[in-house]
Amino acid sequence: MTSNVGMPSHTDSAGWAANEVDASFRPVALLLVTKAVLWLVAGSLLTLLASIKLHGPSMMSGSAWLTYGRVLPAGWTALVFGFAGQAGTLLGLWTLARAAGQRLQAPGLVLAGGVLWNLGVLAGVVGILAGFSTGREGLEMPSGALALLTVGAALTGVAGWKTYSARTTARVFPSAWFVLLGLIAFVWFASAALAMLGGADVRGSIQLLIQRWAGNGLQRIWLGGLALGLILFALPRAAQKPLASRELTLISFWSLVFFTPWAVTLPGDPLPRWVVSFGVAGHTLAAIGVLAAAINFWKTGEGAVARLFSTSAGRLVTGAAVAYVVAGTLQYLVSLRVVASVVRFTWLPVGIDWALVGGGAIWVVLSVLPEFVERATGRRLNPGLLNLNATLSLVGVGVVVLSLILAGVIQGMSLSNPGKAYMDTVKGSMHGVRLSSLGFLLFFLGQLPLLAAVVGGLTAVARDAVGAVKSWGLAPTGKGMGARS
Amino acid sequence: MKKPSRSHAGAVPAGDAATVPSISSYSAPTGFFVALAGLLYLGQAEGCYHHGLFSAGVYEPYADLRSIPSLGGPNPIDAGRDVYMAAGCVACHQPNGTGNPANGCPPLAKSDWVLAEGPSRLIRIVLHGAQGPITVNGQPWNGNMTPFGGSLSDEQIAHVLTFVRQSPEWGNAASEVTPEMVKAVREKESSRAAQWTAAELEKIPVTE
Amino acid sequence: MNSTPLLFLGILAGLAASWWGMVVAPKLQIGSAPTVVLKETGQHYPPTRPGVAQQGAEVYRSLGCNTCHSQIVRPEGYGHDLLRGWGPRRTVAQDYLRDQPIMLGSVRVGPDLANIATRMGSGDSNAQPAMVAYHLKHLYHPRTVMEGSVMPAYPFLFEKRRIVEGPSPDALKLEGAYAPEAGYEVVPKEEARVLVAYLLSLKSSASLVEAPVIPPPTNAPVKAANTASIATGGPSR
Repeated sequence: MTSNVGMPSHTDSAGWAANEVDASFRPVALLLVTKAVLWLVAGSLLTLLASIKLHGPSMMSGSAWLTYGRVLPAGWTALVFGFAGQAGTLLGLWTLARAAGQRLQAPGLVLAGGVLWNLGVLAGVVGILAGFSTGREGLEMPSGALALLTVGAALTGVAGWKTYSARTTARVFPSAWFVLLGLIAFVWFASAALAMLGGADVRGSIQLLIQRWAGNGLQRIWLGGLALGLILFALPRAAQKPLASRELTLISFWSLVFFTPWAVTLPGDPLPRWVVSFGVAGHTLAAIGVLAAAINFWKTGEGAVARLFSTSAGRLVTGAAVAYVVAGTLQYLVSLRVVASVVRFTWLPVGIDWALVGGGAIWVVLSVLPEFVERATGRRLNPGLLNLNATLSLVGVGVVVLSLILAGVIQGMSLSNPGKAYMDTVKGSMHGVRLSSLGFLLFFLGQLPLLAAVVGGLTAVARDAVGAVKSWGLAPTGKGMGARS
Repeated sequence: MKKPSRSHAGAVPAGDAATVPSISSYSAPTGFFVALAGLLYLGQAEGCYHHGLFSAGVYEPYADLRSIPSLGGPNPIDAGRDVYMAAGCVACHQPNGTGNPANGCPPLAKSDWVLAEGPSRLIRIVLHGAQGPITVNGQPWNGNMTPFGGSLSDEQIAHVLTFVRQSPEWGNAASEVTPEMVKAVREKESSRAAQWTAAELEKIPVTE
Repeated sequence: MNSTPLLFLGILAGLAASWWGMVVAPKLQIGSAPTVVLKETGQHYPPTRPGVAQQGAEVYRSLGCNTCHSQIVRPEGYGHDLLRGWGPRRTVAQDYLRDQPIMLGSVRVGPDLANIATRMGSGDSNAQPAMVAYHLKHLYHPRTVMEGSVMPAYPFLFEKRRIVEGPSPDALKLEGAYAPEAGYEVVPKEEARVLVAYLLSLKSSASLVEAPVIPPPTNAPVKAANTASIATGGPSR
């Protein structure tokens, strides 16, 4: 476990090299970051809308486009694929390039892949709102949209592997493995789901297995893997300490590869007993990787808590590390028969999804994204706006996760009491659900400053670029300069 | 950074000192490896305890086919039909007993193997499974059948074979198979674990 | 871990193993299971869905009903699904054989619908018109039949129109604040009709070999408190 700065031996050039690496992301950052943030705003607005509709189920009921069953999956699609996945992939590539000590290779593929990806998300979100949902939980977007995403991810993946293969470092910082895993996992799970669910002769129970297997793979290995890789990169930086252990990172990684994909079924599923038991065993073994990550995070952050909490990026990545471990632990607990019998089909699994996606993935992306934009473009983003975004995102998602878990426990306990009328079990859980609306509101409001910061920063970059071109004599200089001052 | 930054906000510092974090040599405590071993144990125990003998027809709360109350009954043909459906025979051999060329699964309806004078070879196939080339009604087949000796009782094997040999809907009419016959073969072949091949089975007299 | 091919192959091996174990192996085992013939009736199970019900499944999918409703009854010991009267037995793979796509659901914001066709009131055909009327009214505005329901209203599945030549027999019987203004009536569109036909095709109650219906012991246990029928003022589920 030698120390590894991941750069050529001449330390003087480390700064220079990183600069080159960062600058190679400039076009990617300029083209794709704003799109990702727009999906974040759209997704958080749609999930807020869905949440509000639970307070007043007759509100906005005039149009099929705004019915709860469409708004919620559309918002989730925008958040998971439009923002967390897209920005997570970009940041993953950036950390990969830094770990490899190499410029981003084939940036054109990333740009092309990004365009396809955004078209796919757009088709997915609009498709769901228009009623073309596949009806498969976690994979609601129409299959054509998923196909676009898959091609986009494959193109991006090629660029990722090219960058990794062209590495100049002897030992690669391990967050790179998770990025590579994420790039492969998306193509693998999405294309398998597309190919196997396309046939009309797939029986219902087998469809259930395919969609759960693909949905679990996308959430926990693609997105969860990207998130874990980013936390392992960002947590030591924010703590200004080395990452605790390469060994534990390896255990987390191979656990994610070999065990987590099996965590498909839960007790009570309408499948033969052995299939259910294999899924439960997968959940159990997947906990190994979560435990290793927990110790790794703990030992990395130990003694640096004050430093972690002193910056907004540090607070976000600390939150993400905690949320990742909480989500993984709860996922394991829910696979136990005694727990599943109470809380399955309640709000609690929704709370877990939010802990993993909203906490583990979105928080770490929000932690790293500003620095990525700043380093790729050379332009500082407004720190006040970023601070506001961090605080509202942390509080918002935190309230959502805690209130949904609380609602789920209450709902599960009362459902387990057969003497309690069903309607009363619903009413009992609604307090927590209503509280979560507050969280959704804060989360949505928190993304507006981020949008302002990113749009403001990138517009300035573009303006500078135009100004530079003009000042080279291609156009009269006075007009461009005058417009800005 | 090439371009000047003249409006608001300062330029980003040129590169941070460490492009990626370094890694310290922390070693996980023994407790972690104990927990790791515990989770590995729990994972395999889950599979060992809840495997339901890998049968397609075993769902919670039943542990195996023998414990399902609806399996079995006074009429061996009806009871055998239930076993045929629940044990997964039907998935390959099909409801009408025609087999499935797609996975090398030979027919049972009007099959010369099924309608043999005695059931001794059939009992062995169900107990231990069979694999490799086999000629049924003059047609070559090549499939792989898993053993059912562990998941089905003597009585259930007797019922399913009686159903297969006497199924009125398939037009089969051969002698009944009794639990005693199955028990006798089970004891005789108690040391056998491997799946049968057609060549081995053909050496065994059909009535033994 | 510094060997690119090794990392690549390791990832592929891990992902492929789970695909084989959790998808391919179960597909080989139960993926081509046929319908079964029920002992009681001699009918094939599951039966083919009538065309209208199949169209209704498309509406159910399109509106995302499975966002809030599950279609699964779990075995004894799991949240009292059986005791709550959500079905006479657990559901198994056979029940979903004809579902395209399967809409099992993962959250129960609303009640389970695996047996909605038979659960509320008897399954006999005389009750059918009353059931249809109940479900239509419920879809139009859930709070007309169930106080405190959090289900969205679906007025866009209905048409409010002026009564021209006497009231239509299909018009919903709405009272109070929910009733349209005088001279108007609310009639279901095609989507609402087929959706109700789909709901009334949802039943997983036939006794199967792998999931037999076990008659309750004669000294009947406490029946779930939420059992109700149309006749007694509307189901509370």
